[in-house]
Order: sequence, then C-alpha cells, then structure tokens
Amino acid sequence: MTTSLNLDSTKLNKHWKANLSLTISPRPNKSVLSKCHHYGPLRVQRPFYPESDLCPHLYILHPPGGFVAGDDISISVHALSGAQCLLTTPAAGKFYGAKNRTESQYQKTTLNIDSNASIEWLPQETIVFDSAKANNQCNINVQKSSTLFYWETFCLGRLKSGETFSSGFINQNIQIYCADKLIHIEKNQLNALSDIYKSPAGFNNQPVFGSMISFSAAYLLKENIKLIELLEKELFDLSEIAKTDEQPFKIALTQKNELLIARFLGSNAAKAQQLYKFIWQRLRPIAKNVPACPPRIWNT
Amino acid sequence: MNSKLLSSLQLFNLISPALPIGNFAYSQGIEFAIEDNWLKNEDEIYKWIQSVLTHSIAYWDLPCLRLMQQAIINKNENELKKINETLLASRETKELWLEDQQVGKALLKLIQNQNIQFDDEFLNNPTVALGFALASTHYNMDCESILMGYCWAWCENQVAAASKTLPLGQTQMQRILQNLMPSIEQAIKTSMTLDYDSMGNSLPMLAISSSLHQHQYSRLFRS
Repeated sequence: MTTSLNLDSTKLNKHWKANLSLTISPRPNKSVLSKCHHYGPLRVQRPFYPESDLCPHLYILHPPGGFVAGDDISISVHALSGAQCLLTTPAAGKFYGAKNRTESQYQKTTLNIDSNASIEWLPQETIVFDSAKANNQCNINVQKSSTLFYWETFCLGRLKSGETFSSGFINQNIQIYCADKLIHIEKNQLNALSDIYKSPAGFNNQPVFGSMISFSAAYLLKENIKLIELLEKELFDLSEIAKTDEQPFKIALTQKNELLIARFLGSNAAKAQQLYKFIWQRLRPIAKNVPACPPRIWNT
Repeated sequence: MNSKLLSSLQLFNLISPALPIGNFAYSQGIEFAIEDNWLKNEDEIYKWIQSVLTHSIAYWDLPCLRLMQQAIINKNENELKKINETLLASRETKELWLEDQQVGKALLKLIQNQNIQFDDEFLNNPTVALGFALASTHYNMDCESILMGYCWAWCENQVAAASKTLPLGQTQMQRILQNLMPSIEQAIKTSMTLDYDSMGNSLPMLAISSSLHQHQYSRLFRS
C-alpha cells in the first residue's frame, strides 16, 4: 500500500478542500487496498475482513463531520478487474447551513468498477441543514460483468430539533455508465423555496428521500426476475401497511435491465436505511452469490 | 401549399390523439395515484398534472427536445445521440422507460414513412421527444410550436388517462385542460432559459407511483 499525505494542502485555500482516492486490487483469493491517496481531512481506516478475504470492508472518515460553505470534497474508488470492496461511513454526513455565504458545498463521488469487480457504497444518511447550498454529484462507471450496490438518503433539516429546510438548495446528480453508455441519470435541483417540495407528485411535504441502486447482469436471468418481482410485491405491500404507520412512508422498486432502483420517501432516515439494508440482504445473494454481511460499525 | 399552413397542419397531425403511436395505453403513474386515493377529485388531478408539467416536463423533456431540434438543425449527430441517450436514461422506472421506447419507436417508424431521414440506429433506443424533434425540423416548425405541441399532447393524454380511471366527465376534462394552458405557456418560457447545468428534475412521488403501478391488482393502462 502506498500512502501520500500533504499536511499543508488544506491551508492553501481558505476553504477545506479534500479528496480521497482508493484503488482495490485483486490478489489470489483476496482483494486488497493497493493505493490510497488523500489530501485534506479525509481518511480511510485499515481494511477489515469480516466475511472473507475476497471483500474488504472500508470505513471512510471525515473528521470535520460535515461540509461548510466552500467545502469541496471528492472521493473516488476504483475496483480493478476481479476485486471487491464494501464501503461505509461511521456517522451521518452533514451539509451544514451556509446562511449569508455565497460559496456552495460540493461532494463528488466517483466509483469505477471494472469487469467482474464489485463495489458496495453503503454510507449512513446525509443531513442537509437549513440554508445549506449542497451539491451532491455521483458518477459511476460499470462494465457488463460488474456488481454495484449504492444507496443515498437525504434528510432535509435537522428533524430531531424541529428544523425545517426553509432556505438554501440541494442539487443532486447521479449518472451511471455501462461500458461508456449512459444507462441511468437522475438530476435534481431542489430549492427550499420551490413548491416541488409541497407538490403531491414531488416530495409531498416529506423531508427524507433517497434511493438504493444495484447493478448486476444476474438480474437478467429468468429465475432471478421472478425473485425480484416477489421483492417488488413485498415492498408494495410494505408501502400499503406503512400508510397507517406513525411516520408514513413509501418504498418502491423498479427494474431497468441490469439496474434495480428502489426509492424511499418519508420522514425517518433510519427507516430508509433499514429498508435499503433489507433489500440489500435480498439482492446480495443474487448478485454476488454470498449472503449480506453488515459491517460491524452499523451495530454501534 | 403555403409552407406555414403545411407546418401547422403537420403539427396538428403529430399531436393528434388519433396518431397511431399507442401513447393512450400509458398513464405515467396517474392511474395508480388515483387508484390509491392520492388523487380523489378534479382539483387534485389538475394539481398533479400541473406540478409534473411545471417541475419536470419544463425542466427536462422540453429543454431536451429544444436541444435535439437544435442539434438536427446544426447537423450535429453526436449531440443528438447524446441527448436522446440522456433522456432515455433519465426515465425513472421500467414503465416510463418502456413507454418512451415503445411509443418513440412507433413514432419514428411513422415519420420514416413520411420520408423523414434519420440514422436507423435510433430505432433501437428512441424517445418520443426525438420523433418530435425530427418531425419539427423536417416540417419547419419553430421551437415554441413544437414545445407547445409536446406539452399539449402530454396534457391531453394525462387528462384522458385520469378521466378513464376516476372517472371524470367531459366538462371537467375540458376545465382541467383550460386551466393548464397558462402553465403550458410558463413551462415553455422556463424551458427556453435553461442550459444543461440548470436542467433536470425528477419527481419522487411520480416515480414511486409508476413503480407501484406495476403491482396494482387490476390495471387499465400498460405497465
């Protein structure tokens, strides 16, 4: 493993600039973190191997805990052909309020997954504070034989302290390319003042939203399509039951060829994460032929 | 024939519900939204359609159509392919994605019979907006006219789908369409001001409704 570190880098600019670039390489019966470059306050802990040597679990740490106006954070992970890894975060991400600030906050994630390689990007939720100027961009490149699990949950306002998202914006852009062809794009500009938030076809006044996306050629196999349809139906029934829940929510799964996309809308970020985990547990055996192994940090 | 008249007639034909491209078979989530009691009356139906038009069509479909029309005029085949691919990749659910391809393909075959030329490759992954863009340049329709036509065809189809599900009477349907007209104008104005960075909005409840529609117990519309 090679590590490069430039302690002064963050002082060059009056803002916190940070990036983290990881490469996962295959070894005989093992995947290893072969390269790790960081710049600014972003770190990755030593890989854990709680399931097998094939799939290291990596925890990404961002000691400041959240992004302030002017922050520009970029994380890229490259799984080389045949390599696997699972990434998560120990705590919720935060876009802090940026009242009276002109600069925006940027977070950019790039996942490159080579043939027969796999990346599972399973972070905790992101809290968007009132008046944040959040830009969240994610670019994913897969090959036909790659496996992807990805989820993101956004929570508008600090709900526990009764804060609502009444000013600021969040721009969200996720793009997935398969062998250089764009197969999925979701591009949103959510301004706190826009009535898209109240709209019944939009956010219907619900502050927590997000999606879980998975890519695998295994989802095209006839026997698996049946399993996926059963899961879709199960989630349909869950949405039905959730109508009378104390905190009603909607969850729905749809399939576009090798892509599965589950969307959540509700008022409880923990519920969204719990549902993504449930779906992940169902799909991981189909896509990767191994049971789901939750990272230990989720239990703490 | 007077070219301005011809151009208008071609637009009327392109957006006629009688055009055999099968768009009447889809409801774009509105059938499930009604079935599941999210929308219970004329006013709620109007608000749903108005908000999809204002937040999604104006910020995504319309500017994509405008950019495709521009790419055809500029003979920029790569740009045309890129926008078409992006538009198709943005369809949130299986149902919306299949609809755009199936209706788009029918439309492309229909205009191919009118000797409108395009790369055959487009038949593999077409969108409805691509067919509109191709027809609009061939028949010299200006940008605002084709955007207006696209909005009107979409609104009429949504109101028709709602009327079959709820059901709504003819008078109520007409009232919704009349009320939507100012929003169509605004949607076109908005769409003309957008560059790629400021484009785009996907609606969570619409996407969820379209996903759940697939498992609705009995459906009038395709999934």
